[in-house]
Amino acid sequence: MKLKHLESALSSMQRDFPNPDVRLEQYPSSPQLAAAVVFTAFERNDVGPGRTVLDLGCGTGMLTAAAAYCESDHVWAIDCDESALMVARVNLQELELDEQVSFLLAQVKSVGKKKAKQPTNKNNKDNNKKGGKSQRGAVAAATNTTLRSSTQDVRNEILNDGGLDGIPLPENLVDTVLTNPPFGTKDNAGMDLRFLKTATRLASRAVYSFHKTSTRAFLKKHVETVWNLPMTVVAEMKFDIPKTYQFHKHQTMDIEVDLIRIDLSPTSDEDGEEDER
Amino acid sequence: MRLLTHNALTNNSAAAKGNGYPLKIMAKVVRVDDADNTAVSDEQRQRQMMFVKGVLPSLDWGALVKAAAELGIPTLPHTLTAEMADDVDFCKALYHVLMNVHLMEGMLRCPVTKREFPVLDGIPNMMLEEDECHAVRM
Repeated sequence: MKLKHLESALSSMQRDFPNPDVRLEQYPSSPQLAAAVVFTAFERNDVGPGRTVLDLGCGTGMLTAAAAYCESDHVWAIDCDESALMVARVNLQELELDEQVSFLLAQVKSVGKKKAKQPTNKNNKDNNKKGGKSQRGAVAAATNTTLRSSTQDVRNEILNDGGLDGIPLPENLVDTVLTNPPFGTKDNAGMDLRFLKTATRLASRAVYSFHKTSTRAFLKKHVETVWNLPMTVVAEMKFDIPKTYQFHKHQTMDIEVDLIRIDLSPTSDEDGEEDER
Repeated sequence: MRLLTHNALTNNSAAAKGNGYPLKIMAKVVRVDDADNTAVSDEQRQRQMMFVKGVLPSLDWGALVKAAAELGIPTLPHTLTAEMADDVDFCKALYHVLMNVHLMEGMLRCPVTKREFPVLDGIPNMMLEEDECHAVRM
C-alpha cells in the first residue's frame, strides 16, 4: 500500500461537520495526518489484514477510512454526533469500504463534573475553630450546585471508573484503537485522558492517540507509572485548525501535537507475531 | 446493525452491573444483502473465510443464535463444534449471517434493566445519560 494512494483516497472524503459543535471540538481533519498515522500503524502490523481496529470519536470517518483502506479485517466507528456519523457512513460508502465498518452512536463519558456536598453542622463547627478562612469555602459549596473537579480528582475519576466509560463494548474487543480525542479545551479538561483510558480498555494490542505536546511530560509519567503501560511518542505533528467557529480570531491556528502509541501486548513481538499476516 | 455488531454490544450502565448482555432485539425493519454476490473476488472470499475463522473464538455463540432468530433466522445450530468451524460451507453461511443481515430499524433491550436502545437507519444509539454512568451510591 502506498502512502500517496491512501492520502489521495482520503482527500476525496467530505470532512466538514454538518453542525460543528465547539464543545465536542469538531474540526475538519487532515487526510495527510490520517494517512501518516495509519501508514505508521500499518508498518508495525497494528492495522491491516488480520487486524481489527476501532476509531474512537471517528467524526466524519477519516481514520476509519484509512484503517479500512489498508484492508483491516473490521473497523468499528464510534461517535456521539449523529450527523457526523451519517457523513462518515456516506464517505465510507463512496470509497466502497463500508462492508468492513460497523457504526455506533455512543459517547465517552465526560469528566470533572460533580455535585457539591452540602456542608454538615460538624464541618461548620470545625471551620469556626480554624478561624473562619474555610468558612468561605463552605459558603461557596452551599451556593454552587455543580463544581469543577480538581485536576487530581479528574485523574482519579478516570483511573477508577471501573470500565463505566459510556462505551457499550467489552474490553479487548479489537487489536488496535485509533483516536483523535478532544483536547479538553472547552470546560472539559482531562477529556483526552478519558478517551485514552477508554481506548486502552477496548484494545488488546495498541492505541494510537493525539495529545498536545505541552502535555507530553505529564502524560508519559501518568500512563507509565499510574496506568503501568509503556508509551512512546511516535511523531511530532502540527494540527492546522482552520477557522471554524465564530470566536476564532485567526484564519488558521497551528497546534503542536504528539502522536503517541501505547503498547498493550502482554509479550514482545519477537516470536514472529510481527510477520503474521 | 449487523449481527457481528450486536454480538459485542452490552449495556454498560452502572445499573446493569456488568450483566447488560445480550441485548434483546425487537426488530421492525430488517435488510438482508445478497449472499452470493458475484462481485466478490476469490481473494476477497478467502479473506472473508479467514475473518470468520478469526472471529469465531470471540463470539458469544448462544447470544448469536438468539439474535439471529430475533432477526428471522432460526436456523443456526445451538452448539458450535470444531467440525463446523472447519467446514467451508458452514463458514460461508456464517459470514452471511454475521455480515449481510442488517437491522435497519428496531429496539435493543437490556435483559437486566429493561432499558431500551433504538436502532435507526441501521445505527444503534447507545448514548447513555450522565447519571447512568455513575456507580450507584448508597
